[in-house]
Amino acid sequence: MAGKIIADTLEHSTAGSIATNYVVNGSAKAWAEHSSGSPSAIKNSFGISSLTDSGVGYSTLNLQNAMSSIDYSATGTSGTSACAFTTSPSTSYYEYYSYNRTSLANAIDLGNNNSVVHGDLA
Amino acid sequence: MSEILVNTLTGKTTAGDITVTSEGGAATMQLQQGLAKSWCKWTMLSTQTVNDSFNIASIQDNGTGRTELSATNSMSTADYAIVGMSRDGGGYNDDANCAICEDFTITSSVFEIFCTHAAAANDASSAFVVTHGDLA
Repeated sequence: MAGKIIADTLEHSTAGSIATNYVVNGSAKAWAEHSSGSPSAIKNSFGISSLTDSGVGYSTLNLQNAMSSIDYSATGTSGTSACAFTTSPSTSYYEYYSYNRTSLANAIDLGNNNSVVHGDLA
Repeated sequence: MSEILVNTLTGKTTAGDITVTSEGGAATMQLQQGLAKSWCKWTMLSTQTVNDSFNIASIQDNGTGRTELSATNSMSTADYAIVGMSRDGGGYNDDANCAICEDFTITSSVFEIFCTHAAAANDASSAFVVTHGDLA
């Protein structure tokens, strides 16, 4: 056992202090950079157990630890195009959709897709 | 209430690994991995200017709608998550988008953001970016 500290506040000598609930609540619970198409793969990630190619422009990212509810924040940015999240979230995965920025209907696979999840873990 | 006065947090078993318990208590996660490694708000109008930032050393105007951002402390690889948004126009339904330049070679310390308005390259009045990944 390496040791455990229970504290409500962390204070730096010059940079101020922060309540530790901001550390827990404010930390990203997952993030990923992934490519879609050929290949559809995780390049680097945290809190992501696997990636499923769900069709052109669609990637399902499975969370390593489940969120406590489906009401969490998922944000993303894609390479030289646009992205959105589809409307069927789950506590254990989210679906990323990349499309040509000139038309929401034009799904495309991209080499660079980025997403971050904030919220409450179960 | 308890309070810790400290300038540095370092894992005891592994220096870069401090575990925190989840909100619901059912899981634990690595503190370092959840922290944003940099963020920046800047304007692309006229002379590109940083309004506020963390771990961003400088920005460079690379053309209309394009900004190159350089980190103060580098990531461990060129593979990290970059998430951004932009604001432009005066209406609620203006079509503004923010993307990662795919023809720019991302390195462990430099990346480029590309903003558009109505599907064309455009200098955003405000741009926002956050990075997550592994610091070197």
